[in-house]
Amino acid sequence: MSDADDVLDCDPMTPASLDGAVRALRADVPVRGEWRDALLREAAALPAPRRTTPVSRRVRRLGEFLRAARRPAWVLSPSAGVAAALLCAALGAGVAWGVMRRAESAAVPGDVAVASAPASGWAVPAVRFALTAPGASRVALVGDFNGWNPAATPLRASADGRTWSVALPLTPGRHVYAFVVDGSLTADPVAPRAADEDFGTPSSVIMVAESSP
Amino acid sequence: MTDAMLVRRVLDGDSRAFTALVDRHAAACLRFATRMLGNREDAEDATQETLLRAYRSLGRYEERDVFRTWLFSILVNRCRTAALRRSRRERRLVHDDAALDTLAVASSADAAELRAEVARAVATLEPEQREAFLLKHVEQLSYEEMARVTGAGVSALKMRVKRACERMHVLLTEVSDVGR
Repeated sequence: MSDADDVLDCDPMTPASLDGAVRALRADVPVRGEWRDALLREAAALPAPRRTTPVSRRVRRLGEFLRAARRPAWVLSPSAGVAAALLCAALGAGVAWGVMRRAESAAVPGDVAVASAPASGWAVPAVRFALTAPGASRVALVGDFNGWNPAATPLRASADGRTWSVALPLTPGRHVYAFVVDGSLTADPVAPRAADEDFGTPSSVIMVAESSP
Repeated sequence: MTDAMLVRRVLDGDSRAFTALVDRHAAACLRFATRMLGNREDAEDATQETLLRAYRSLGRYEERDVFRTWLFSILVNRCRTAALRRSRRERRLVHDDAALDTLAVASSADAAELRAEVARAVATLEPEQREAFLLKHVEQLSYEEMARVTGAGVSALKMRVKRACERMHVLLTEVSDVGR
């Protein structure tokens, strides 16, 4: 058994040998009157806070969605499974055919922008998001641009399965986003972290520039 | 009046309600920051940044969250940032007499000696262990609350607290043995 296992199920009280130390550490630190007054003056100079929909609420909804998604809501019989697989294959072939047709008609080699660089040929700049996640079975992009919906923007794996990517048009400005790797939120390791992390959310920021004419 | 009711009052435009929130929580924030950073000046800065940031973000506070836990999630990040800033300045943590003074409980020589040794022992802990130890045993948060505040898992936090307790025990025992 590891050390971690030893403490997993216990919630220790303060060890008796540390009673004195903990008592000393729990002693109040006096709040200086000048410091308190300066703090309240600074707060009074700020714009009054307003009710908003917080990132944390959106992310909590996302978490609830992900947890619900992990629970199988129904069980498929073997025959129904075969039928569903055939149906999915047919649908997938149709979608692939549609995408290929669209790619033939619209895509120009090299027109997908990397990071925040705008691309030509789109109504709004297209941004390519990529994540190295070898071994992942499912990666999605969530952010303020898709309502933090993990079903909205799945990433596609490269041929070797190491790199996942997607390109999508984003309106110019600041966007907060994260990846969902097999159900876990993770920030983009190569992008700046969002200040909203104060609320415990791993998220990143991208600035999309205006598209040049 | 509960914290959540005070937040609602602030959002309705009553600035006195924010004063009440400050008076309820500033002391605990200042205590944690002082123990964490070992420096009164840095602790006041981190606490001020925390409370102002909380004020600006009150509209995003959700009433089903415990306000103190929400506030500490900001404070922990501010302290981490302050510690990083300070490490860049290459300042030492433990040799701050003002910080040692803030541990004052009693005025006897023994108590003064104890608080100095405790401050030194806390300062020698790894930052993650110090953070977990203070949140658990000084601020008395549950492990679930600590997980929300720090972003770490419960079992990792239990391990950090365990290691911190062992380290504190060794350090304080060594001190008392030397004193004999």
